[in-house]
Amino acid sequence: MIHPVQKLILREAQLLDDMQLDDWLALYTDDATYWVPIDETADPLKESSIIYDNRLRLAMRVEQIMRQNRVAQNPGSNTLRMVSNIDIEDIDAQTASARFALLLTEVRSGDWRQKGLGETRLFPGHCKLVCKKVGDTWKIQQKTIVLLSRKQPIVGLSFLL
Amino acid sequence: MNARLPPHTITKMVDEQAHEFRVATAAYRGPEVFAQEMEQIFYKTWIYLCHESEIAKPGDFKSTQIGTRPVIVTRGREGGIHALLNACTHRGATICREEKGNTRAFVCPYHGWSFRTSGELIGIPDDARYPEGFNKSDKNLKSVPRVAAYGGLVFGSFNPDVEPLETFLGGAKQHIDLWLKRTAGSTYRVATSHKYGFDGNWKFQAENVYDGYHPGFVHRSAFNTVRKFEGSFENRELHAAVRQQGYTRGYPEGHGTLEAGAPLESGGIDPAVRDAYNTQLKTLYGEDGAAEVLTNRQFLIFPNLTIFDFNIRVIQPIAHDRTEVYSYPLMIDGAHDEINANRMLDAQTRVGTAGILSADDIDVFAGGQNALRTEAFEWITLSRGLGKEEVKPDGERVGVYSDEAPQRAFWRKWRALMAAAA
Ligand code: FES
Ligand SMILES: [Fe+2]
Repeated sequence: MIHPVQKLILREAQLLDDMQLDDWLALYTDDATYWVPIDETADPLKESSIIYDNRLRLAMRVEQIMRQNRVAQNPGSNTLRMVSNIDIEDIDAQTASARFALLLTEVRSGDWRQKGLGETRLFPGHCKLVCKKVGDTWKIQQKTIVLLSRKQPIVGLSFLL
Repeated sequence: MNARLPPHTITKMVDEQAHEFRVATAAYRGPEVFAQEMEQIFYKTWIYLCHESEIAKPGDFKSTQIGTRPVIVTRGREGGIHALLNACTHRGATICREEKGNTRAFVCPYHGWSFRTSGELIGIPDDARYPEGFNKSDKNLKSVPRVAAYGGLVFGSFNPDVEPLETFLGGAKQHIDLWLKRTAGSTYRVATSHKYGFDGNWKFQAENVYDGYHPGFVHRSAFNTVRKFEGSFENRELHAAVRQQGYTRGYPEGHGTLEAGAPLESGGIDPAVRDAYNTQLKTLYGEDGAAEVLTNRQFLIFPNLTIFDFNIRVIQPIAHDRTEVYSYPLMIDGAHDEINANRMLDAQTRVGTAGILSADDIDVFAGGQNALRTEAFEWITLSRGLGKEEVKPDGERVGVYSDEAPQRAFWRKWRALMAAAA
């Protein structure tokens, strides 16, 4: 039997790739944290991260991309998420943790001849989730994406990883 | 080395008349100008190396660059700050491959020569095979000739005859002093930098940091979002496309500021904690002094260091069409955790690698680099506020928030250095 958290992981990747970001946000609990660390052993309130968002800041990102026409997503990114090596551990009946490997490929659309567009960028990383069963549905309470390139300059990230 | 562009060619690139201040697009374009910028600007004047807190303890080091030259900044055993070329004096291997760390000595990976963090050569394996009279004393790691610090900001210069650092800072000094007062009597500690890169000229980022004309357009999406999420950022004049409050300044030394004329703090901080901090500032500096300290201010120290209320941003030229930016959140030593967490998230969420503001600027810079391919497009204009600004006796020019006063100061300095005798 497929673990419901595995379905959640695949559904999340799909919604992001399909730019259904409002539905994506709904996969997260109200107290969710979303962390893209630079140093995954550090306290994100004391050391820098690429992103350390609560639900409010995540919702702001979704709003800026989906409805406010942000400059750096105009033209927008096309993404493909390859998810593998999924390993799920049940903690109790309502809680599970998961690890998986992510290979995110991104290409901006528009006039591909122009600087900043038309490049295929790769974002490989290790992902960790803590998931909660809320009523009948599994949701994401914590997500951590440890990018391989986290200590180096990355082009401005204007889309959701 | 590329052939040098003669002074009259450089001088023509920055064209200042009563009704027009324009810059040739050639000044942003190609490896020749870039090479000359390295020689005439980055190796002639003071360049920011690091914040003192990054190399707080003896043996601490940080790998960095002055222009495109790799440099290690270190804290010696005796506590002094050194800037060394990251090149082994034996056969030129790179000595330090880490971004930062702490060590007793640098040991060259190639043949094992070792050097103290002050650069002094301490060991040559099997040195008996060197000839009689072989001079070891000139085999220390080469030093950057001048190092000096002001307000915790460490600068180095490849020019042994460079002017004193404080003379170089000129009009920017008072802004550094104000910025230091935000620590309420403590000191800053910089956190790990957010890093981003873009395929564009470094001056696009330099000109952008004090550009008060662009936010209502490039950042409209962020401002509209902030407006929808009540309390996420305070005191923003979010309804006007072009902000009417605040100032820009340009100084004869090439530095410039953007001042909002109000604090632009983020929300989400316990009011009691914020009050305690504000009260501390008032006790130290008085009511008006505290208000001045809390006013949002960002300034560029020519050519590539930017100081914001919450972060230090270093603009690192890599090539004429490639730039990296390192943005260091500024923590206040001993401040309430909530104050520091707020400063961290502010710097990160606004202007970090995934900043709701900076990612949009970066896209504009790449677009600017793209437009440079049209060589038939010869001039850009920086005339906004020209002739309408206040000119003070010492040469300081004050404009309104959306004026291009600081950009003009930058280009006047650029022209002077680029056209100067080699
Ligand atoms: S190059 Fe460094 S020891 Fe030989
Ligand atoms: Fe901006």
